[in-house]
Amino acid sequence: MKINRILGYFRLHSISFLRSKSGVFFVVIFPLILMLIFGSIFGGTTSNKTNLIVQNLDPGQQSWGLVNVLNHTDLFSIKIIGNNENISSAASHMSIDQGIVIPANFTANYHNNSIFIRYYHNPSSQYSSSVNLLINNILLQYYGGSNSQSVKVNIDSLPISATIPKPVDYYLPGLIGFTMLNGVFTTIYQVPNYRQKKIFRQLSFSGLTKSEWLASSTLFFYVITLISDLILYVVGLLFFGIKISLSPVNVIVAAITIFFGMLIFISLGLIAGIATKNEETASIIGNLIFFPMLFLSGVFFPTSFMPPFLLTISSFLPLTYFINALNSILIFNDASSVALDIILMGIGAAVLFGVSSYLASRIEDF
Amino acid sequence: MRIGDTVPDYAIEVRNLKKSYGNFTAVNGISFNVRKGEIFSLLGPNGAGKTTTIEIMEGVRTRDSGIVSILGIDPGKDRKALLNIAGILPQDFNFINNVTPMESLRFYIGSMSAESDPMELLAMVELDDKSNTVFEKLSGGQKQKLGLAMSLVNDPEVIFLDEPTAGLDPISRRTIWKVIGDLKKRGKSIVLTTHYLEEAENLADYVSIINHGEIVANGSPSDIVRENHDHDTMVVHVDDQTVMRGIDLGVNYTIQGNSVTISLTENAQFFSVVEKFRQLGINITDLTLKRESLEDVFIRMVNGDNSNEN
Ligand SMILES: Nc1ncnc2c1ncn2[C@@H]1O[C@H](COP(=O)(O)OP(=O)(O)OP(=O)(O)O)[C@@H](O)[C@H]1O
Ligand SMILES: [Mg+2]
Repeated sequence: MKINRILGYFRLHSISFLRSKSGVFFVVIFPLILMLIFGSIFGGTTSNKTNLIVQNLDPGQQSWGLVNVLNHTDLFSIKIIGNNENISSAASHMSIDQGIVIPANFTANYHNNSIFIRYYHNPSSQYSSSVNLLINNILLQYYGGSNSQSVKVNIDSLPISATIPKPVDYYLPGLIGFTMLNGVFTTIYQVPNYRQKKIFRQLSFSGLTKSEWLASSTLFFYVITLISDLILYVVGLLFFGIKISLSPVNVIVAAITIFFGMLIFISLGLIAGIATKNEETASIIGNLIFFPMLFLSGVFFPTSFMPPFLLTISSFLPLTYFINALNSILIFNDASSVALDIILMGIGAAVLFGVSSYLASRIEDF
Repeated sequence: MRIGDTVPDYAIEVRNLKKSYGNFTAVNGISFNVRKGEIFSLLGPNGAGKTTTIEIMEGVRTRDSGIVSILGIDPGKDRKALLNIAGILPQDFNFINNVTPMESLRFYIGSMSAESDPMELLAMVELDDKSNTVFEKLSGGQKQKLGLAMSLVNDPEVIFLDEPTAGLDPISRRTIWKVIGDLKKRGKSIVLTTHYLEEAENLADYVSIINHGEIVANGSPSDIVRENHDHDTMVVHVDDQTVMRGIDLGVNYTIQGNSVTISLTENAQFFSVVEKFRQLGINITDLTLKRESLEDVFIRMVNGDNSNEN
C-alpha cells in the first residue's frame, strides 16, 4: 500500500464524483430534500390531542376511574407505561412532553377524601404549564364540584429530567443512516461498469493495487458521508432547530458508528457488484437491498412507531441497528449504552469487508 | 535456458508460448525474440491470438506454458517490476468517463512517481488542445492518443501497443507513427500489433505473422516479401491496345484499356518481355514494376491457411 497512490486515486475519484451529477444528487442533495420535506410535513405540530404519559402505581379501582376521566375529555392521547419504567426516559423515547404518575395509595387516599398525583413536565415546553392547569381543572370539576362526596385534589408538579426530542430530531440519525446506505449504490454500479470497460485493468497499469483502490474508495466514501451528514445537521439546525448532543465523546462514537455502517454497506455493494456481470442486474440487487432498509429501518420515523410484524422485519435489517445506535448517542446522549452494539457492528463490518476484499482480489485483470 | 540467462541483446524472449480458453487453443506454441531498440510487429487476422500474446507479455493474462521474459522479468511472476519498465496501450483503451486527459495523466504520474510533464506528453500526441476535455467527449482517435500518452508516463524501456492506430484518420496515424519512430530513436523496444500492413512495413524492424495461434512467417518486412512473394507485376502502357491482340508474351497478362498488366514469376522474365515488345515494335509509353506488398503476401498466407482448413 502506498499512500501517494491512495490519495491520487482519491483525488481522481473525487473529481469524477463531483462531476457526476447523479452521485452528488443521491449522496448530498437527496437526503437534504428528504429532510426538508419530512421536516416541513411533520416538523411542527403532531396532532391536536396532547400526548400524556400515564403510570399507574395504584393497585386499586379508583385510579382507573381517573384515567377514564382524562380519556373521556378527548383532549389527551394517553400512553400507559409499566410500573417499573422511568417516566423521564419514557418521555424522552416517546417524545412526549408531559405525564402523570398515580401513586400506589391513590385508592386509599380517595376513600379519605383527598387524592394526590404527580405531574411531570418538560421544562422547555411552553405548553406544559397550561396542561398542568387543564388537568387540575378537570380533576377539580370531577372530584370536587357537584359530586356528593367532595375530594380534595393535590397535584405535585415535577420536571422531567431527560431531554425530550421533537419528531424532527429523529430525522438526523435516520438520514445519516440513509447517507451510509448510499455506499451500496456507489459500489454496486461502479464495479460492473469498470469491469466491463476494463477500467480496473487500466488503473492497474499505474501501479494501483486492488487493496489501494479499495482503501481509497472507502476513504472517499467516508469523507463524503461525513460531509453530507454535517450539511444535514446544519440545515436541520437552521430550519427546524433540531437538538442533538454533540459532546466530543458522542461525536467520536457517532463517527465510529458511521464508519462501520459505511463499511458494511460498501461491502454489501461490492459483493453484489462483483456477483453481477452487468449494471442492470446490479441495479435490481441494489434496490432490493436499498428500499426495505429505507422504509423499515427508521430512516423517516422511529421504529418504535411500527406495528409488530414490521418490527420483526426491521430487526433483520442492519441499518436498523445503526439508526438505533445513532439515536441513543445523538438524541438520548447515551453513548455508553451502545458499546456492545458498536463492537458487534465492527465485527460485522470487518467480516463483510474481508469477504468483499477477497472477492475483489479475484476480479481478473486487476 | 533460464530466464535470468537472457542474451543481453534481447529485450523480449518468448519461447513456446501456449494459451487455451477452455478447450479452444488461442496461442499454440509461438516463439520470438525482440532485440533492444527494435520495433517488433505481430500481424495476424482477427482472432489470430495477437492480443492474447501481448496481454501475456503485459502480465495481464496468465499463460498455460512456455517462457516469457521482458528485460529478464517474468511478467507472470513479477507484475510490479514489469510495470516499472513497461508501457502498455491495450486494444480498446478506455478510461473513467468524466475526468480530463490532464487529470488522468497527473494521476498516472503521481501513482508511478514519474517525472514527466503532462502537457509535454499531450503535445507529443497532439492532444494538448483537449487537455481539459472530459474523456467521454473525446473522439475515438483522441482517446487512443491519450492512451498512448498514458502508456509513456514513466518513460518505459519496453512498450506494448495493441493496435495503436485502429480507427485513426491518416494524419493522426502519422502522428502516432512519428511518436513510435521517436521512441525507437531513443532506444526503446516496442511490440506493436496492427491490421495495417503498411504500418508494419513502415515501422517494424521485424515482423511475425500469426494465424490460428501459430507463427506462419518471420523476418523483416522485406525479407518476408522476398521469401514469400509469388510474382511481381509489371504494368506497361501502349499507344494502341489493338496491337496486343493474339500476342504471346510467354507469361500471363491482362489488358485493360491501353495498359497491360503482366505477371512475372521470375526476375529473368522481365528482360524477355521487354525484348519481346522491342522485337514486335510495340512502343512502350510507360512502365512500372511492382513488387508484391506485405499485404499481398499476408492475404495469400492467411487465406491459403483458411482454405486448407475448410
Ligand atoms: N477471454 C476469452 N475467453 C475465451 N476466448 C477468448 C478470450 N479472449 C480471446 N479469446 C479467443 O481467443 C482467440 C484469440 O483472441 P485475440 O484477442 O488474442 O485475437 P487478436 O489476434 O487480438 O484479434 P483482433 O485482431 O481481432 O484483436 C479468439 O478466437 C478469441 O475468440
Ligand atoms: Mg486483438
